[in-house]
Amino acid sequence: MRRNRPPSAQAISVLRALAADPSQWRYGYDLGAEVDLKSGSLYPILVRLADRGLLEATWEPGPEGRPPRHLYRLSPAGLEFVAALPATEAARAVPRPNPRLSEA
Amino acid sequence: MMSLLVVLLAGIAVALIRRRLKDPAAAAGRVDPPARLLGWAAGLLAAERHDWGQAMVGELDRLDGRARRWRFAIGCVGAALVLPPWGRAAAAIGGLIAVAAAGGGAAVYAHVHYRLGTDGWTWVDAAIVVVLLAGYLLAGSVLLRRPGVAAPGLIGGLAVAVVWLAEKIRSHPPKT
Repeated sequence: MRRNRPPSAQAISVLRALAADPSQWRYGYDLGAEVDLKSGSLYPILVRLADRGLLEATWEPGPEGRPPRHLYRLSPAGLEFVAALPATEAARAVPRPNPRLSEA
Repeated sequence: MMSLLVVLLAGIAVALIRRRLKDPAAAAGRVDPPARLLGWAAGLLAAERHDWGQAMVGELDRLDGRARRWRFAIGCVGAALVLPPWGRAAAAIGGLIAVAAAGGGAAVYAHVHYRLGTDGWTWVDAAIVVVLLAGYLLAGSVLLRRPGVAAPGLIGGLAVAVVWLAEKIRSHPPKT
């Protein structure tokens, strides 16, 4: 039987960051920098959110000879999920601005 | 034994030079060690997670800075190893490490149990065992990307290691 555990505080941070502008597609690295998550934590979270149908993903073709880039945004189910989050969890997971973002 | 080590090192050097000559991206310096590491880890992901491996590769491709690329690649390797389903990656790496640890442990046990003594060559032998086990891990991880030869390659390597260890024990009878 597949478990459907409640999302972690880090996952909620990611959801909140994506919910800030739901129509905008986001790059993984920028998203991780915004919520201060390293790639080793970010990708398992993105995979779990996508598996639960809370996330949509698409590909941005790369320039000649370069690999394509993955983009993410909330699905309608993800938007509903964030809207239904208790206020305490939402407040706890407000994304913090990260200086690394300006370097990327 | 020393000649075996020289052959092993020469083989690794030749393989690296050939790979660099055959791969134009590597020759141009576009495929750096973090990209190679991540490419290897992405290759270990289960088939249904292949897209996520490509997502990590695409993201690394846009990152500048050696330290940042290393941090990102190492994090992604960790993610690739824990991403469910725990198919090839975790099982294969766990198996390789277990066999290497067992090999190292058997060598130490044989040395202590048969009281082989300690002299200058003991440390050379120990260094050779470490190099062989590291080579086994490296070769095993490379072979895992080629399923057709992985099993025979790993079993063959294990058989060679067992024969070598048995020969070592036979040629050093226990001291009474």
